[in-house]
Amino acid sequence: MTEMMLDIRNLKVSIPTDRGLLNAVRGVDLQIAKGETLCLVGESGCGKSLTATSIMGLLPRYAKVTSDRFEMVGQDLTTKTDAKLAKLRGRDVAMIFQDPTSALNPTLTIGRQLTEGVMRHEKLSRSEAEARAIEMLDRVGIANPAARLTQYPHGFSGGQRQRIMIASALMGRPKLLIADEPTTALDVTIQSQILTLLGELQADLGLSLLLITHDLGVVAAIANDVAVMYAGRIAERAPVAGLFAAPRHPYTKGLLAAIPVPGVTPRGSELPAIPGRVPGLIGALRGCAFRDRCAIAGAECAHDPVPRISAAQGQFIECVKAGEVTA
Amino acid sequence: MIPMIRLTDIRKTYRLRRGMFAPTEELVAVNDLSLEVAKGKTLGLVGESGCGKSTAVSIMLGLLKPDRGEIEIAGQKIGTMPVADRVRLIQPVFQNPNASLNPVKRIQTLVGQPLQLYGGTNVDAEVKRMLDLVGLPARLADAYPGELSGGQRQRVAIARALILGPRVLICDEPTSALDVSVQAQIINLLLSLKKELGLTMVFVSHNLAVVEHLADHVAVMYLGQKIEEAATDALFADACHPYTRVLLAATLLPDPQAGLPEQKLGAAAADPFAAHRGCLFAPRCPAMRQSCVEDPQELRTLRESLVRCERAV
Repeated sequence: MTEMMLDIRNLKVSIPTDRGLLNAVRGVDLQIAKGETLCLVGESGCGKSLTATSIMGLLPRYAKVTSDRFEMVGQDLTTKTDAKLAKLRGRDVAMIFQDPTSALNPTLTIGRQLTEGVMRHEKLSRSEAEARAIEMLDRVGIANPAARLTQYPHGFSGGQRQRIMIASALMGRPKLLIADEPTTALDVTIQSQILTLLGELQADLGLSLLLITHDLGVVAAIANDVAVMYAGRIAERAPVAGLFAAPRHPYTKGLLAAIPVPGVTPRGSELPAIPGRVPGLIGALRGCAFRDRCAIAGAECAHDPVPRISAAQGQFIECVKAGEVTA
Repeated sequence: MIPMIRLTDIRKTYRLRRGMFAPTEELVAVNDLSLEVAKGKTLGLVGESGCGKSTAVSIMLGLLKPDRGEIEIAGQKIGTMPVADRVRLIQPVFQNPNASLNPVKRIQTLVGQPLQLYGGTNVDAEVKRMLDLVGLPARLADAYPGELSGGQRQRVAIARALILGPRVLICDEPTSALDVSVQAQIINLLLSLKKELGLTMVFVSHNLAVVEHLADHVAVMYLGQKIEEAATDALFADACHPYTRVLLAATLLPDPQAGLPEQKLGAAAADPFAAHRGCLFAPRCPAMRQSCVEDPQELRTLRESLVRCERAV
């Protein structure tokens, strides 16, 4: 049995709004094994970022979060307390965000921002913490790290700032790293450098990585396993090769077909777009959330609950018509 | 034949400070940019942030005055043209429809506004025709942008750009803010509009896969310069400039077999203030030699490309 770094069952996040309760995450199951990279992919508003933020316990108090099981790096957090989570954050679990420019404080030196967490959590002295900061900056490819500790974020390029964010996340020697769109704000040449770095770190340090993205190119490049999210639920989970070679959920199929691929999609041809739009998530939603946009939907798709068809190693797909999809 | 849009030796500089108390320095945003697009064709303009794409777009639209150089649309110089004439020739579609549409105005008003401003008649009927053209139901005329999805809002932005009947449409990252499934809808719409209305388009994007799908030819920019231009097929099959090759290699495909491309770029980032005579890409270039930094690089023809690199073979 592989060791699970993250095991969440039936995670639900609801947010009260003027128009009623917004059920943004509607029962998500996520398991990540030690050393595994899971990509959580989906379109805006599908709940992928909320899932990540709720794992970190960073949601505002008015958000209602429930789950049947919540285990992280070997600790049961089902009845989690803020104090318990705060201990994990910045040590065993760390998170990096999309925009390094807004995640770094422009008025503090890099050294101060990197060392703050470990000095508090691990009670390291300033010099010990600085030594580790230098080690981590070096690890993420910042040249001459000792001299750069005294510099402010504006002295670094966008790609370097994201490297600093990663170094900062590594300071507590985490076992699980959550990255929310870590390369979306970066240029493509920088993007592949950062993804390469994440891959190396993962292999060297045995990190488990939960990477959230909307970019299927990123998924293909870095994931072991993929979870495709739609309207607050995971529609399909599969190993990366299988998902791209033979997607089974109609939504996954639609997504993959909608991307033009140079050299494959005939130039100027009409792309098979998914018609319609994502359903509103305020109030109750019955049956399959994708059925209004699905080409093969039938009357049975309106029934609750949508059956889950499981296969080996945690793979599954939630679709009552799954048999017909593969045909 | 006169090209529908022609830029000749456009140069635009800004004076900027690097720090609060630093002296102002000259930043060359666009340097000696020449482009031509024939009627009914689509030019893809690609490059990373800071390469001058958006400055070039603003200059084409007449929103920025270049320091020197000439822009002609349908054979007419737009520098001296009254705004009322210019807006009937060329119109933009921007990246973020949430930002480009006024949230407190109804769709009817937003789409009809250009016509109202420039003395059009029959505004209501025209708005209806435009909404139909971009595939929006007529009942949405009374809606506000906030009630629409991202894809619908981008359709509104396109309707608004087309209501004056322009010859040229400049699309600046029109699908970057959209989801994959919606991006395909907007690409399909642009393709059908191009065919139906005989539009000439400039399509600015950092997404090479989308550019490959839409453009007839592609110009690649780096730090304000055009460093390569070729027909789309030639560029994607056989790029000549080292930077174009890096850019193509860095584009991630939805194919797990492809893996992550190996990056041979140096750690240096593009520095827009760096002033030297030679190739601007040289500090990051895997094929750099001393002469690259010292000798000015001119555009030359190599196979089917126009390329600014003496070492490209």
